[in-house]
Amino acid sequence: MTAVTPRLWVASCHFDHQATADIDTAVELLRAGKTVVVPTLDDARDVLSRCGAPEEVVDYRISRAKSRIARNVSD
Amino acid sequence: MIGGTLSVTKDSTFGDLAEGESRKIMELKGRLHLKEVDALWGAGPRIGYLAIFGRPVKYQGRDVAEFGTALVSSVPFPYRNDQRDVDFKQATSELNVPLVDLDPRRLEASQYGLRRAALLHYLKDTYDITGQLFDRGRNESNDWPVVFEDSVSQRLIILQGHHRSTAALIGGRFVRARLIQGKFKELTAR
Repeated sequence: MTAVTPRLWVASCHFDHQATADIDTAVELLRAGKTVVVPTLDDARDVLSRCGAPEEVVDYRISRAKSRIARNVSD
Repeated sequence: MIGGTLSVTKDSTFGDLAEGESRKIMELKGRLHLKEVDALWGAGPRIGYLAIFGRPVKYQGRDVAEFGTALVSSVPFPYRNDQRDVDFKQATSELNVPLVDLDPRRLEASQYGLRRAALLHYLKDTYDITGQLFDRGRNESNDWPVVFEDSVSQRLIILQGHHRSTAALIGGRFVRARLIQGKFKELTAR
């Protein structure tokens, strides 16, 4: 259960959320104010890029999420 | 209110004021001076931003016709304790606690001021989606707002994320933060 950003999570999430594997749907849900869960960090990367996040921000948030997963620390 | 450079030009960041809004802003400013945090809840970006940073520069009769804005202003939350008062040796680490949603109306500050540019960044509503921070320095302890809960009084003190918490307050929503629990140092608990 890993948060990439406040409303974009990977694998699972303990807040009210909507899960989807479709990138377009994830982007739409985020813009509608929902918390969204996608299956993988690669999906999260695609979603963030589509939401207009600068590349260095995407790289940073993904690397932080990866680090927490590697340390087995749940969000 | 802390000091700061007053911009003498009209601030139309969020568009022109609608009728009655300048009175609402001045009323909010009065309530914020008394640290009535609830007053900002759901105020919206235009009203909330000007209630904190707005300074009247032109009047029409008794109403403010135009606001300029200061670069810095007082944080809207009550401020009684700062980070030096927290016994970090006995507190949980923010790196190992889950995220929780906190009501910003319950929060207190651990610093005096807010920066206009930082609040504007978080009012744009992209931080919750992209995680893009105003502060460009990369520091894991700033990745998320961090709030300290004193186990004796249950008071909630913002340690990191005053601007994000203020943006959440203005937007009428909870702030997603790491909650660390512990106690104040004995001699400084108030």
